[in-house]
Amino acid sequence: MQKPRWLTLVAILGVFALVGAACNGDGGGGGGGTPDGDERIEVTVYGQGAWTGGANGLVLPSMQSAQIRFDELNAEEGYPATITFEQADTQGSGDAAPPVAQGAAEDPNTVAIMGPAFSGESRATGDTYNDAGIPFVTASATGEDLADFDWDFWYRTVGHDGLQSSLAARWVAEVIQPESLFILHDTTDYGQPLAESVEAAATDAGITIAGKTGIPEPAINTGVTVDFSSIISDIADSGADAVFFGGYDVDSGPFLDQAATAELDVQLISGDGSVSSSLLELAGPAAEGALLLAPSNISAGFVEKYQAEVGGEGFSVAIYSAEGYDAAGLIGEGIKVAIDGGAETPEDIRTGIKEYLDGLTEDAPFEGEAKSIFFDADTHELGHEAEELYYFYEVVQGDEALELQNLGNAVEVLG
Amino acid sequence: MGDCIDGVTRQFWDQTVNGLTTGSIYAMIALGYTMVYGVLQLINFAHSEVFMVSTVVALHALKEWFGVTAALHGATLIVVFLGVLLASALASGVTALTIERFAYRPLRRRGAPRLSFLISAIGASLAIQYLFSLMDGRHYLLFYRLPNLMGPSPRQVPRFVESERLFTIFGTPVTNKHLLVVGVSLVMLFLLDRFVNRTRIGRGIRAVAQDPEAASMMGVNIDRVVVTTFFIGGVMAGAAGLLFVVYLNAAANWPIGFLPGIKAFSAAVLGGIGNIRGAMLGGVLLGLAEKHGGACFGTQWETAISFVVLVLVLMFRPSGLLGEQVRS
Repeated sequence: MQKPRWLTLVAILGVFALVGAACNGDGGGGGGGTPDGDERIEVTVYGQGAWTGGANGLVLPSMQSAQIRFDELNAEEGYPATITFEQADTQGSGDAAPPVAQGAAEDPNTVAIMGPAFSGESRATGDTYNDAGIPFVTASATGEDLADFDWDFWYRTVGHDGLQSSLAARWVAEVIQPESLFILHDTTDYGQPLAESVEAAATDAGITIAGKTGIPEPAINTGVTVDFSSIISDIADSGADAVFFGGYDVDSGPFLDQAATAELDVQLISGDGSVSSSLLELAGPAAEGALLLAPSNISAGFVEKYQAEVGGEGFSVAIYSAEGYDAAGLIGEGIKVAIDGGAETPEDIRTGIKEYLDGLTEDAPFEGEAKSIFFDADTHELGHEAEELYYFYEVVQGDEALELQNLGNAVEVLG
Repeated sequence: MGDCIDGVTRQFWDQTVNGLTTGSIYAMIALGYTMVYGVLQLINFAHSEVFMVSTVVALHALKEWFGVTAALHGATLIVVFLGVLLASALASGVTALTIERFAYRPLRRRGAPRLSFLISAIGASLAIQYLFSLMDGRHYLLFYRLPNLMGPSPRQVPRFVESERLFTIFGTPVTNKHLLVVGVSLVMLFLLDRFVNRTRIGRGIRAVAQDPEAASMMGVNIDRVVVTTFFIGGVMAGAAGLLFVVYLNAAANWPIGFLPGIKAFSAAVLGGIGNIRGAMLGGVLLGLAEKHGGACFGTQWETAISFVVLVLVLMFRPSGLLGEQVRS
């Protein structure tokens, strides 16, 4: 029997609708209105990072905070632009990032990028933004080598892994003082160098390295919870009493959980990739006692504002929320300065933002919630990268749930 | 070499327990590949998504239907576990049937070449993966808002089975989770073996696997055999999905089927694809090879080692361990 042709047509339309639905998503929340009714220039800022996927607990707080700041600017009387904050969702993957970045760069209204959120995707997409002349400001990518790419339009508002790893190693050597340390990493461009830096520094400090291994298929890449059973057996066999983990929450959480199940009693120490609500959820009670550090103060005053504004959509561990708010404020101020200086087209505004960022100095910095910001003229790293900007945390049982207790910044903890 | 032997010796019992547990899961998934291949000479590459569906249904059933938020004990645990097992296995069985109905049957009816089945399998796999990736409550299929099964990020399946040490083997703790995984696998593999070897429909499956034309002439309903085969393979993968999330406290996520799926496929080939007992053996051996290989060469080589073992076996015995010898 011949099937009617209209059925085929309906099927084709269905496919288009599905594709359309897939591409539609949530557009990033829009940019508010024009409360004072004046003529504002419509501009777009893309937030590039893991809006969805396993690692979004590390990214959404900063993106949500950026949205708060852009909404405030849009509502501000006399502000010369209407900023639309769009999602450039890479799920944190360097492989998935290039076409996403290409789309953002080709949007004629794009004036700046907040992100990329992770180091791997930064390496994969930095050239795209740099070649397009679009300023991109990351509030959370900490890879030490990012400044080595010499991107003129790249700026970083947080500390990098070089200092993070040396502080982690000092923390291990001077404060935690395990008899032997096992180095575990997730084989990513972020986790492996961080872990190996800690390994080198710990070795210099005289700590025995009991063993070292990588996770060949980490959940951050595959989306699949790793079976850590053989790694746990390896660690137990090594006799280590502490593990430094270089990697992300989606792997450190299940590691802790499975280690507890296997009755492995070790102290986990990890970096900013593990500082998130996802760690607490994925590790469950086994997270208690984990020691973490990050170039972000998650108990600063801004976090209360974040929790109040975002409500139920918020994350209990608001990593990089103040940094995201500041990065958005920085971009927003750049847009204002550019337009006030006569810029009218997106190209001119991009140039104006860059000039504004380059013009920040120690004497005239951008005063943010987390810190005052100005950039090194050569590297575009923070001009005052300092130990005070790194914070140490311990997972403790709170009144209702697990929470991160702030142990203080590096100067306070390490002396 | 000395390090390798030392590693394997010191961690022997640890890795044996680990290998048997993960191998049991591989074996259950591998059955779906091997049964479908036996009947249709087709590699069902969408089988990993059949596995994935069960993890999502397990998450939904535990959270929404049973309202589980903490570990359960005693009779409640047994009832909830069996209920979720039933739901997961049925969901995967129905998914497998759907794949057969829409991705393979039209091709079978038209006598399409083998390559078409392969492309259709890959297409079905991707379609199911991306359909589930869109189930975050924000996307639409036509005018229907897809349910929020996945959330914006992987969702932790409630830890409803608390891990408890039951006994030790030469110092290696064996927990209730180890026994649960191995025990449920053994029971289901035994039931399947009996079903295929002792029942009328099982005889039909074997007959179609041997010679579909002759089986058809002898009155075997080929369509019914194919549907039954897909359903049983799906049920086994569904049970494996639940055991996987219970054992690892895994988060349900749309790509979750890929790695277990490809390893289970290797297990099926290792045991001799098309041979049910071969799939069981291949799964367990692959699990053991992975874990002991990791102890020998380093855990980061775990997956590579299992595939090297596979390649070596196929070099010397192309039909797999229990497969029939290939005739020239």
